[in-house]
Amino acid sequence: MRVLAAVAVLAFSLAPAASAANGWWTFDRNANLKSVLSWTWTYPPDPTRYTRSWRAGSGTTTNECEKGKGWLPAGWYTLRGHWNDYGGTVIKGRVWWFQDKYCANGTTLRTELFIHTEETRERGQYCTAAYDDPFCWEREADYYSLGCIKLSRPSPVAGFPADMAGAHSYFHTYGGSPNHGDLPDDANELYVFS
Amino acid sequence: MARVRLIALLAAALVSAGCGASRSEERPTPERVGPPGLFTVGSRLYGLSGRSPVRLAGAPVSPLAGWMSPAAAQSADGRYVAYNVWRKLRDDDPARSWRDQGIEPGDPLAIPQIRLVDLELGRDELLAEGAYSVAWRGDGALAYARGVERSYRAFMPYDTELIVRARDGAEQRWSAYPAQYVAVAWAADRLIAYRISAGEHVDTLVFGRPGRERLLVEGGTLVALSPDGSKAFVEEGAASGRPRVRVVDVATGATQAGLPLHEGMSYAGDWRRDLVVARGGSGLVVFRVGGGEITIVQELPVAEGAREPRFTDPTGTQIIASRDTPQGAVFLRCDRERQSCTELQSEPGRLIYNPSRPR
Repeated sequence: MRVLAAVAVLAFSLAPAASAANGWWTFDRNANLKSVLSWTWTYPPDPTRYTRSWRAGSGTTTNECEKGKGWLPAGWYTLRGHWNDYGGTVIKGRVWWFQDKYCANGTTLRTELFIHTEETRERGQYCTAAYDDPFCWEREADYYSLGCIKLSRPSPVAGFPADMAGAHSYFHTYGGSPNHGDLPDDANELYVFS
Repeated sequence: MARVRLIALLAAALVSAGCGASRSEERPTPERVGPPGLFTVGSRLYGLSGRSPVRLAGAPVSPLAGWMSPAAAQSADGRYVAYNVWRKLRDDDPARSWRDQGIEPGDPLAIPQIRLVDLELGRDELLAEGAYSVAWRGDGALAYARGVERSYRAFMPYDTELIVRARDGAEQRWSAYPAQYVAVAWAADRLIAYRISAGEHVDTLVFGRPGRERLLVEGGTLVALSPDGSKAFVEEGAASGRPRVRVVDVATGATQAGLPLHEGMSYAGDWRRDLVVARGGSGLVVFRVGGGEITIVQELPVAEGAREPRFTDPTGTQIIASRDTPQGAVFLRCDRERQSCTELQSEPGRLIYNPSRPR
């Protein structure tokens, strides 16, 4: 899978019309602060794969069984839904929510797993004098998460790349669901490499 | 197999001779002794004084809490062991997605259960269906998180209420509203619990009485309670800002001491006298608490990390912990004077402990 994904990075200019695309996420766990989230898509029945990747973070430790701390467990995930204006207490804005997953020990469930960034529900930035505002992308350490996958975005106080915007755009343009909210029948999945 | 073990022993002896008395992270040859106190191997309960192992109805495990709270805990009077069981209603292969396995939103996947072993009468009974995480109060009351629904279902957060069950069986709800709680420990008559929300964000709460919660740590967890239960050693990780540990007054939430760290600590540690042991990023870290300060006194490296460390002697020199391996969790004994940790046995097991204070 990893090899296929790596081989499949092709020039986007070669891609045919987007209407018939089928896509999915992959996540390559390298380090908590520096891993790789990719969106891969094909135009069935053509098996050629196209991939776009972004830097992403996950967890504060590399033990996937450490609830609330370890990075995302390996395996395939079903997408629960996608929101542009998610209004959780600690996660807001653009999110993808994935299924729960048993970690490698087979007895610990990781739950409440998202792809997200640090932004307000309206996809803005709320940057105060606090060292680490949860809705403001201020610094490198914001790639840390409690288990989710995190993408950067620019803010008034730091110039990180607009990776959330890029991932969001590729998702909707190249084979992701055009819909928002609960997506129980969506085929778009996530694969986390071990 | 015997030949393999012999070769391993010889190899260990050679390595030992070559390395002399240098600080060893772990010896490769496990000791064939169990940890002190109660522990389980599979569904067998060991460590009962003068008694044979007891077979439980299932292996203690609490998937919704992991090791945020003990999978099994012994009451203060030693008579009871409350433990978590996970009754699977269907298989769930972690390598495959739910969709690929035909699991639909709302499908019931498992039922968490709490069982109670009466060591005096030799009984093992179901205490609560659709419930998990146990915390014993000194008077024999048991706190746990009980699901609003009995079954854990696909794509549905497992919302719970915090229940306190008195020794006479009377139940009282302590949480004011449903959430994903984990019962952790009693600090005297105050209940410490976690509330898990989106992204596995964890807040540590204190319940002074039914319906009255207070935030003790936002985005952080309990490492351990002081022996008298008045203070909590808490951690906040890098995802919540700068990693740090603090000593907070359980009654007021006031910070009494703090220490910024380069790497975050983890929950489920222990506090003995003025020493606190916690799981760190590369092993165990021992802190000293006193005089309004927290200092690091020792770091014990453990490959792949160690969890649920407990002091096992009055001076805080000996520590027992466990570590996940592909075969399951193995026990580690760490000697602070020798600055080393030794694997005790290869069978998968869980430590049984009671983090409530005072006991």
